[in-house]
Amino acid sequence: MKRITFIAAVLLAQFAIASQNRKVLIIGMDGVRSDALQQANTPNIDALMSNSFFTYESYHRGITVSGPSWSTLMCGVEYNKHGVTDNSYANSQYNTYPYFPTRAKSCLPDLYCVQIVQWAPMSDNVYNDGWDLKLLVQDGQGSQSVTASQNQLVNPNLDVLFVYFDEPDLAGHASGFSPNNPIYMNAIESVDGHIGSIMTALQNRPGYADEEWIILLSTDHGGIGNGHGGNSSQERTIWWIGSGNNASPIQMTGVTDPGSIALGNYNASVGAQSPCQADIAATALDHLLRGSSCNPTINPSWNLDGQSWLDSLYTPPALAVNELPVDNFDFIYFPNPSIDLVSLWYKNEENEAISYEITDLNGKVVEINSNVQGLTPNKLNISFADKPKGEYFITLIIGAQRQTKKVIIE
Amino acid sequence: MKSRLVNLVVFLVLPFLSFAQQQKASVRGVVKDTLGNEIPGVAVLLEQKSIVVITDGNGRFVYFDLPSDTVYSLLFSGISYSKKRLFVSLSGNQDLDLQAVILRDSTELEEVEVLGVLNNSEAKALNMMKNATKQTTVVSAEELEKLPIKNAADAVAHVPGVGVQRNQGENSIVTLRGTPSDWSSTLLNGDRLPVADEEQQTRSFEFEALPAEVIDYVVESKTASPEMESDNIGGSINFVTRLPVTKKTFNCDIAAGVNAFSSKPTGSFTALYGNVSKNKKISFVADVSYYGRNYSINAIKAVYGSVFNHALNRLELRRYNGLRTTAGGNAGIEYRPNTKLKFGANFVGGYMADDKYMYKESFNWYDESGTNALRLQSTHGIYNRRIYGGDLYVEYLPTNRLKLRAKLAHYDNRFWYGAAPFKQRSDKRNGFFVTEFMSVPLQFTDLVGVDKFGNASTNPYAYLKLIGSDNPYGTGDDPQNIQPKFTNQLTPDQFRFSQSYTETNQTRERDPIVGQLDAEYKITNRLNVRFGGKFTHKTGFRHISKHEWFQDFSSGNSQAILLSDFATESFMEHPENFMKQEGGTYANLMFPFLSENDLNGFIHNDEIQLREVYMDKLNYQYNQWVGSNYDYREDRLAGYGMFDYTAKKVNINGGLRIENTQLYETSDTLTSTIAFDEASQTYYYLPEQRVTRLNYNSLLPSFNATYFVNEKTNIRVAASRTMHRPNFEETKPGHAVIRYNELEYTFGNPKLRPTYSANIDACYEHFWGLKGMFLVGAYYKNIKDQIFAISTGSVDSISGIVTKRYDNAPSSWVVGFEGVFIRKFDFLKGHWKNLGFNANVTYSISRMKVPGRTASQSMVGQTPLLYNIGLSYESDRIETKIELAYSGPYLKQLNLSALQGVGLLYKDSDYDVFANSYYSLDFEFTYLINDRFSVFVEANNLLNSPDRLYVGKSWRVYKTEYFGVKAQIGLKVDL
Repeated sequence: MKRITFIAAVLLAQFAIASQNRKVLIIGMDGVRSDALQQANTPNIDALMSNSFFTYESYHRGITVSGPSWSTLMCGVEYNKHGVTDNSYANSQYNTYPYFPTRAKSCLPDLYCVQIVQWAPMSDNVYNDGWDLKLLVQDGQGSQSVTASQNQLVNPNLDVLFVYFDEPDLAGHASGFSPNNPIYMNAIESVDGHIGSIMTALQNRPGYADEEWIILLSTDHGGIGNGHGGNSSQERTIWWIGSGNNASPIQMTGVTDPGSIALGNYNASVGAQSPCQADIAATALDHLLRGSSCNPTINPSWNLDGQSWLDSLYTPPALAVNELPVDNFDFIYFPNPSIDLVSLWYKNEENEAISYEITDLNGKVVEINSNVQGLTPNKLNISFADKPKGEYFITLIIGAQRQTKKVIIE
Repeated sequence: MKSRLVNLVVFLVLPFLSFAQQQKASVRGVVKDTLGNEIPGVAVLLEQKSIVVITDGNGRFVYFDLPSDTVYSLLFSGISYSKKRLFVSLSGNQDLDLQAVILRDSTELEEVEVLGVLNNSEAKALNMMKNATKQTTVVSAEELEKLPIKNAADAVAHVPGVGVQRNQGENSIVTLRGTPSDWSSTLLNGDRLPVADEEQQTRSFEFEALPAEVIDYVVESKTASPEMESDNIGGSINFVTRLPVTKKTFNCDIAAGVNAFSSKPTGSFTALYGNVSKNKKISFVADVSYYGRNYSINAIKAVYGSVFNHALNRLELRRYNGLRTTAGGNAGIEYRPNTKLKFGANFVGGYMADDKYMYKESFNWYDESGTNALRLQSTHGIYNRRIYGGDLYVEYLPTNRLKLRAKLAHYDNRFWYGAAPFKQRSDKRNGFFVTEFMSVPLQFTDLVGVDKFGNASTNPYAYLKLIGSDNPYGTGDDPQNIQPKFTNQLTPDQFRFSQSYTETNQTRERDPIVGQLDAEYKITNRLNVRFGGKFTHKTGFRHISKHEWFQDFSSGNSQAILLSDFATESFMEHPENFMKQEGGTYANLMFPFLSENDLNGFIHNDEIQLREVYMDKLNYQYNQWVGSNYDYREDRLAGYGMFDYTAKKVNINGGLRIENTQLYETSDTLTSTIAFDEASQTYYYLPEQRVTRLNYNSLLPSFNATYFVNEKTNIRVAASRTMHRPNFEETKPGHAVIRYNELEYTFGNPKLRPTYSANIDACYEHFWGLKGMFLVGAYYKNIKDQIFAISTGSVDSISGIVTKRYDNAPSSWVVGFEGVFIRKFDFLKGHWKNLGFNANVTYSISRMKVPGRTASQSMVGQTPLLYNIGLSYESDRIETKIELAYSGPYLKQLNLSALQGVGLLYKDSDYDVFANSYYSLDFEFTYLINDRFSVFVEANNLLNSPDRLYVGKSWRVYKTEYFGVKAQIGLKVDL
């Protein structure tokens, strides 16, 4: 214990540069099936979900293997761009498609980013990743991950932390990836315990009250039988959690499977309607860079496949839904400009009927929808995919209240 | 410790020394054949008193305490010798030394001409068997030479009751009566040899490193007696090295041949020289041998991965090409300053290098990384084994009543990997070197959707490869010809480098001091008592690890290293022959491999950047290795006392052996203390050493009784208690030995008890002189504390695998029957009378109770049926023999995998591993050109019978290995 304290002191001494308030914690769990996560007893993940945007219907769009999948999560692009197709990591294109910290640092070079992984190849084979510190703990040893995380979380300048757990995958290979397998479920639940310890350490940060953390959680693949790597729904159906400051959890359901690049049937426009692995990096970048001098937050030249769901899970304190004017009806929308999909957030405490109108610049009504069902009580997605590029007005009508805003579709 | 032993012996022996002051006449001598060889086992009958004395190992006999001034008649009779009656007149307190009593060969008159050296070792063997004081089989040097034998295990492969386990097609581990391999005691000159093997951690010596040339004769003792080394539940087999000669001897043979599978040469050379000093006081022998053989092995292995069904995870096609060279020799010297004193020394050494390349194709339907690829592994390993040792002994006969013998021995056995992939021999990274190229993921078309237990399902739990009748849709592959089916068209540029690694291994066991004292005191001519002790100090270690290389991407260059960038070789020259015997059709599945040259240079190649990963406490998978290494020290102290009573028709002997065993063993475990290494930025658990200290005493009584029905017939009964010590992996402290793939997480048990067996034996044996013999016998063994890996109830928190621990299990039993028939067809006419026939069979029934399984079952490792059938022809110039050995199927390994919440997964034997039966047919033909030269042809494994393992049912292939036929032609010279 003495030694640990000493290490912490050494680390503290290294912390020098002042940092920013917007911070990201990414928690990766290897090989967790969506149905297993739903059935597992995970109070700590549940707590994170209570103010999150999440789905249990995220469909894997690439190769259901660790190397390619984690690369997708971290780079924000699918394997046909980052080049990693198996655990050898050969042909990786990290110079063209780096890990998101490298992207973020191109804008904010002083960000301090740390990764803590159990599975060494994930650390050793990756370059141009932007981590200031790549810590290794031993495979399946969650308590080491917790210790390492705690030591990092005392650093006030920490901006990005990625913690990775391998236990569920190890258990799945040994005894079966199945919610009916108590061993596999135990492994998920034990990781949940470790997440609780990490969250406690996070919340104990001296400056926590003033920091703006988002916590992103996902997995690399599901599993079937004792393995994975294929394209069965048990391997492809994964989950995505973005824990921010939503007043109540927002769950996306009824997601259409967009297909997979590995299967050759991927439909990008369907894919854009739901969160996927590449969206982890995109959302993290959005959060880190939004409000910075970088504009736009996601540079089109980065050619990311992922899109940010930041607005679904996090509202900057000044704009938080809770702080929308009580008297004046208003809504927040994102992204703008958009390619096709625009998300609207609003207050609807009475759960009144929602309608919207879209008019073009000439005032011509191009779409009216009455009594629409939002994704959540607070969110509605509107697709512009069938409309020509240009500028439109969106009018949101809830009960007797209405508000109009302009959106650009590119 | 030593002084304790000396005190013991002095205390026991002194009272008898004072007895020996009585003054009576005595007569003694040494029985020899016409060539001067001493003949043990000859019955010397003192006709006036109807007392029989059997000549000892040096042909000696003695009668004492005889009333003087009388004429006595001594009748000498031994199998195959003419009887001889000598009259001796003894007067006063005369101590008459007859010196050499020469027995003539009973067949000599019939033989017109004897070519070559006839050392009558066969006759010697027969006499030792007939007049042994317990159930014994002796294999003579002469008998050994009748078949192509290269290593010491070959020498006993056809001996009744002997089963031999093969390693890469060569006889390796010797077992008796089909018992588990480490239950038999295999001795060299009476000492159990230290064991240091690459793979197996038992106490069973692997004989392929010990050339047969060093063996003079072999004594198999099926029943125990107190003076013998313990660890002999199955029985004991003692290899006696070349004895100093009685006249100048020089012979050599040289042979060359071919291995049918490798189509490459084999060659052997042996030479033996011995001589006697002019005053006959010093005699010696020395021999050297060399055997080099190219070999190839074709093998197939199926890896079943799932826990709840028989899904195939992986199919491996393997081709081995290797060169094994064995060099060995021994030397023996004896100095006899007078008839009462003998000093001697033996040295023996064997060295074997196995320089082996292997190509392995693995088709992975499922693997841990989720990459369902074809992996091509090129491997190279140089396996070195070296055993050497020797002994110094002194034998002193201060009086006719007392015989004292002291012996000091030293043995050292070591396994290590040779200079690959690093030229520097001392490089610790040398090992079994593997370089792997991996294909793109395979699009398999042969997976079927089934439920958790492999049954047909419309809502599949998994998509699996199921073969034979395991496939519920009837679409399973023929298990003899498992075919991966996928749509990819694979070319060398689709295989990329994935990893290189060496499996390192340093294993050594030494018995630096083995001390032995024996005293034999004749109270009367009929009764003698023997006392003695033995001390063995043993040290050893097993250090295994792994060293890995991956492509280094840190420079940002991540371009895949492709197989097409290198020189390649084909899997084998005629791929259509691979598993052809099984009906296999694999020619279309053969891919090119990294050439031997490029493999050896791979990690030295400047054009590729590699990153080295060490297996140390900082490695992320160290928990899988921390428990694999262990060091140990074992001291054994044994003392025994026994009597031996011989009447004219009866011999009874027996007594008690007490053994004390003290073990000190260390191995590491991981503590829960988390530490941090700055240099590598790694968190890890601090390792800590743990210790096993065992101290136990074993009481091992044994009795043998023989009724000599007549000169040709014996009835024998025996009863004994014998033991088997756990091996050092089983008693290991510290972390578990982990094999994740097999759900094995097995802890050693520092409190393990040895296994004990209560044995009863009976047999009837009849000898037809040199013409043959037959034997029928039965035995029963009741075994307590058999050693098993049983579930502990605690669970590995990561994998959910229920950890196992070696423990003592409830009792088991074996009942066995055996028969031996050896006969020359002398009753036939003409050439037919030169024919001979031999056969032996061992059949056993065993039952054991497996903890957690409801039904009792056959014992693990117990081979129920073993037999040999041989046919020989021996004339003046031609000597030929063909012999078939059969070893029946047996349960090799229990699958006692257990999971949290499920318990023991397999309640029956359907997931256990069985060894299938195999046949081995060997042939030798020798033609004597004249009394100096002979030519011979020898062939091994004529039936090319595979070694085969299966899971649960005999069709469910686990591993099949074909070794091919080996044949040599050679020249023998006797000068």
